[in-house]
Amino acid sequence: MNALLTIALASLAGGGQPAQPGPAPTFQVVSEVAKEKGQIFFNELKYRKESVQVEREVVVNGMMVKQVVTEQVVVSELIKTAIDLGQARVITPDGKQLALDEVFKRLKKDTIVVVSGNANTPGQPYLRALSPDALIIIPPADKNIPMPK
Amino acid sequence: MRWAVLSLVVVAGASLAQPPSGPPPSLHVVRQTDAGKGRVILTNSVTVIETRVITEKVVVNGVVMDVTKTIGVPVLKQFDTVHDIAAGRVITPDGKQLLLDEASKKLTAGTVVAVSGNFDAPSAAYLRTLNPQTLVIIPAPPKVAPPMQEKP
Repeated sequence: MNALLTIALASLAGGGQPAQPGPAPTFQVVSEVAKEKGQIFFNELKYRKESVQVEREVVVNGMMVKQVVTEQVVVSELIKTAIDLGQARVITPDGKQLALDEVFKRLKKDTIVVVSGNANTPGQPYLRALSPDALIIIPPADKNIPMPK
Repeated sequence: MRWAVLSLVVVAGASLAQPPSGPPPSLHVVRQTDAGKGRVILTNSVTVIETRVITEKVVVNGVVMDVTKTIGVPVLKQFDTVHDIAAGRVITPDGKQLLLDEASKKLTAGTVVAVSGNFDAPSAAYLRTLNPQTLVIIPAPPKVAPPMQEKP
């Protein structure tokens, strides 16, 4: 009885919301395969804000004067990311880990792969959403990711 | 005949790794569906790099000094987005469009869906990486006000 009550309270506390299966994996296009180095590369277009100083004419005490002001602009940059497959794990959605040779047989330029959002296997709901043939790359851990506040 | 077979093999091999056009879709979890309003609330967790200013103690010429550094820290962030599926489209990876009622029934809480990165169906290469049962939401383009007419 107590157990049942606890389950009910837990559901209420969660607001009936589905449990989050962790960070979503992302789709990446392989831009280069360097089998001899055991690496693959992706090109990612990323956007970031940058502060730039521009000269603007502003009105000060009724007079037009030129002033240097700092403005935020959005700039795009193509970032080349390398993944060392010797350090990473490559699995299929059923959880089966592939040997490095098998991975390099299947990976070619322009192949689409799924990259885990952290150093762990993506959550089951994400894996179920993928084709059985999809390749999932789980990169090695580099830093501890703190929980969201 | 031998040439015909060889050509088919080459074409089939080339089609396996065609570069996809357009942005990749992203995967989201259904939080809630409001069939009456034709809306679905999706939630997503992504790792973002946050800037932090930290102070470290370093030894310079035998003297301990505080050095302030700016570092990037990966942080897991969760956010919700509301999608008007009545205005947009919901398809399966084979391109079949679902009626609103059917889509609403399938978009139950906890289901993972793919959301197009623009207002068109994702490239076929991306759709092939999805399970045939996975639903793809194609958002409707934002409504743009008609241009103002100049007064004579």
